[in-house]
Amino acid sequence: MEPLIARPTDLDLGALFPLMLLAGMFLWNFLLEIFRNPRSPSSAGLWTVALATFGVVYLVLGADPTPTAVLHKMWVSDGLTQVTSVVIFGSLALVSLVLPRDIRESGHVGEYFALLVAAALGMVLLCGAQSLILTFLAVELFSLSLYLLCIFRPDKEACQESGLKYFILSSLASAIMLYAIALIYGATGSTWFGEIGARVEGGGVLLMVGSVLFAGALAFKVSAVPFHLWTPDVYQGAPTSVTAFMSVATKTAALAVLFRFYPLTLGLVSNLGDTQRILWWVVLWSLAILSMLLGNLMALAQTDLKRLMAYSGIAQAGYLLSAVFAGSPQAQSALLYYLLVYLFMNVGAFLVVAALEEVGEELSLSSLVGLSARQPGLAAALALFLFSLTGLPPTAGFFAKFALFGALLDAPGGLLPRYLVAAGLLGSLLSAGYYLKTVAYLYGSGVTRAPRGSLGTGFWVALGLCVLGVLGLALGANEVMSWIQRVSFGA
Amino acid sequence: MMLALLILLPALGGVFCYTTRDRFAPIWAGLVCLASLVLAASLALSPEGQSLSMPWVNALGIHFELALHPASLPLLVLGPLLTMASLLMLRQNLERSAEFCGHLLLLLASLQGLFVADNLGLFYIFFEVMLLPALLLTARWGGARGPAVALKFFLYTLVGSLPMLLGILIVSFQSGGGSLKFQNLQGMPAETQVALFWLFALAFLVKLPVFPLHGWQMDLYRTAPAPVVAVIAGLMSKAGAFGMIRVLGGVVPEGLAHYSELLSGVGLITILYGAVSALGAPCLRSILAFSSLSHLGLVSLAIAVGGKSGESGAVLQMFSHGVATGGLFLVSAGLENRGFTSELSKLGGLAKTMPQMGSLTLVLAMASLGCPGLCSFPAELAMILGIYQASWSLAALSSLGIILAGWYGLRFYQGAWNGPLQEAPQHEDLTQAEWLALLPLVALCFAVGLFPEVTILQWTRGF
Repeated sequence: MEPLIARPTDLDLGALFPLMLLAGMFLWNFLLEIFRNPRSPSSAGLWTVALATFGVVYLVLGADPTPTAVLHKMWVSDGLTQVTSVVIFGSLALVSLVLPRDIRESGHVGEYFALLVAAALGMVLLCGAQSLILTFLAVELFSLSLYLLCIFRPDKEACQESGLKYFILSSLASAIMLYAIALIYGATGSTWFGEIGARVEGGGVLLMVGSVLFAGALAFKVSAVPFHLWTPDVYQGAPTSVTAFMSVATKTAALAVLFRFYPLTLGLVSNLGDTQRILWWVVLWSLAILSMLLGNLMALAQTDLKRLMAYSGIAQAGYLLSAVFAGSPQAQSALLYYLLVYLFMNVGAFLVVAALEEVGEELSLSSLVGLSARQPGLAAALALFLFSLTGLPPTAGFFAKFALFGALLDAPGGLLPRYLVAAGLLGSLLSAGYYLKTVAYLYGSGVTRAPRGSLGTGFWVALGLCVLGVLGLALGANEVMSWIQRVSFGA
Repeated sequence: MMLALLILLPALGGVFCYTTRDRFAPIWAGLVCLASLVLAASLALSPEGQSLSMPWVNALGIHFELALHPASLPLLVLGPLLTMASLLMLRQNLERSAEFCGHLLLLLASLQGLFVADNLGLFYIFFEVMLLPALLLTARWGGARGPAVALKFFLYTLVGSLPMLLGILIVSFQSGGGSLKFQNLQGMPAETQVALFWLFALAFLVKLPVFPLHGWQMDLYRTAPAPVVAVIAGLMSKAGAFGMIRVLGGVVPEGLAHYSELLSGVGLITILYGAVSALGAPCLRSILAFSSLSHLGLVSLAIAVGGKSGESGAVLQMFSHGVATGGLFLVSAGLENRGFTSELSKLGGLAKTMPQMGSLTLVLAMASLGCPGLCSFPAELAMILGIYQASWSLAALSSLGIILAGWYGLRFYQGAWNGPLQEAPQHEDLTQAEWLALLPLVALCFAVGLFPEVTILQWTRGF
């Protein structure tokens, strides 16, 4: 047992910097709100954008990718943490650029940004979590912030419902996670990822049940089938900017910890019985394959754009989970690249939805016919994001899927990963059915009517960045992939 | 560098088109096409030593590698020519024509890219990219049914091309993750080639299309705006035939040989099914659609079993079919611009009031049905000769399609242009723009028909 005394490495400020930055942003946003002149508009948004962008720049250019364990080895800063943190900081920055009307009018702008930052802090903590206790704390930190964000439109019933639903179901998931942690601790006597693997023997059944429950609780956060039931309602009811943030950032954090926990503790340990290994493999595999197929099938039936995007998120979770299943270094690179692409295409798509709400468009698919005539910019941007989500070249979504399927073909596990590739391709076909249907509607010939509202600069900047991201990650795919390779494996 | 320009010119021109005014867009796009045409023609005169290699994504083996293939030169010339003709045939004051022309140029750019791609990954990228402008064009200008038809077309082609993606992944995995340059993929073990064959073949058979996979074709050809159909039928369908030569013949030739009997059966059914359906088709556009089906069935048959002669005939036919059928679709665009319907029962006697258009149509129709002296004749001759060397019965049966072509080709012409004059909205004969659009195509029909060796065939022997 390591002594619980802070050693010099525990105070590696470089590794801790992203966490400190977010904690500082959180406090700063509250201070700004307290000392703000009630008549002047809040500057919290600008601060959040600026500092989150600084965080991205620091993580990409400044951070040291050598694995460094801090906080009593409960949190590690390595390539996986670094890239997933970029995704979280990036989605924070993009989402903070826009300030939808209902939040502006709620009069709690400062709190809104403070809560967003708090959620991001919890997610970054989760990305590097090396201990079950920290995992639980991080999950609770971001979940509590997200409950509040989901009910940020107190006047709307759907919003209240969404928040309550998320709260109740998420509490259940938290309870399951705690139970799973208790079981794993009971089986191995440790909550530290590095030791669970070493102490595996003798804890067969308990550990097995514990880790499957643990996967279930995290799958809830990833919104994988069959733990997806909350997703459509919550995504639809929540303010769209919040949906944009949580659809990407929550998934990223939960996937990071899943990726870290499973291979580290169970997959690569030799004294783990074959049956146990196969069991959790099958669990992850079924989560991935069910999400890809059922998520896409359910999305086909949707008639509302925001709800459609929610189901699309479920399906995308399946693709991301299949990278976790493969577990190889190549799969890690593919997962991280996919997440970076997902950041731009999914936040972008939800921001278009937010922009459509802002200019007074209905979100049902049938009323979106001919949008390209009314809102050419928004329609073109949405079409690009949907092409990317389908995985069509020349967008980055194509390279993400290509890299992912390539990693799966290479992965160990006999036929299991190959079935995932087959399901992934079938899922892509199904997804084309609704993504491209939406594009065809957008570009159909329809009624022309004047827009009822105008968009702020923030929207256009955020959407422009997302478009650049989706195209830039394709053109610069080589640079990005080798950067991921470098920070992850030092080569 | 010239090869990159071939793609970049229409691509950048298309992007620029989006920003121009609706009035100037067709002119601008036409100029871009003209420049591309000049570029392609100069490339055709000195094709030696053209290639380009730029690294792109190392981890996936997809690089920006371009090179000429013997089959690509005719198509590279045909592309800008047909696109330019389509632009000239555009309806006056077409709504949002800036967008229309932009899409059309991007379609051209991706097709040109496909024809010069020398990397399987890049080939796949262009193969998919060309669907995007086609989707937008059909959805926006295809009337009320546009979105649904565009989606159907896209899903059909995706059913074909996703297996190809899987095939590429497997090939890349087996070759150890190096570059996917065509050259590096040659010489896979025969059994692998046979196993992978259908993963690749499906994409091209849908694109052509051949008989059981043609469900998208009729809807698209009847719904999309006629100038777009001219490009899709005249050029984009050739992507399927070109893919058969380039990918099936280049990467999995053993598979092609192994399944040649099955493919020739499919091709034969396509020829006869298309030809017989064209006999009963109720409107101009559907006659053209079925005749395309029949003609391209012959092309696929020739590629599958025809050997060298069949292949060069197929390349010649790809060009000829593009000129003739593309031209005929442009004629129907001209009729639609004048307010005519496409229904044969409501057309008749147009040659009396529009003699110029009538005579050009006659040449194009004769070219399409394989009249000697016009472009399809040498192509069909070479293909049938190639097929004959493999099996005389196949050759005999497939030439039935050519005989039937005479029947429906004349039906196309006689139904609309001869006979009693039906009441018609407008009888203005060819405008200057339409002359400019159709005359080069007609001239090419003669030139290729009389001098196939000088114009096309010399390229197909390689360089």
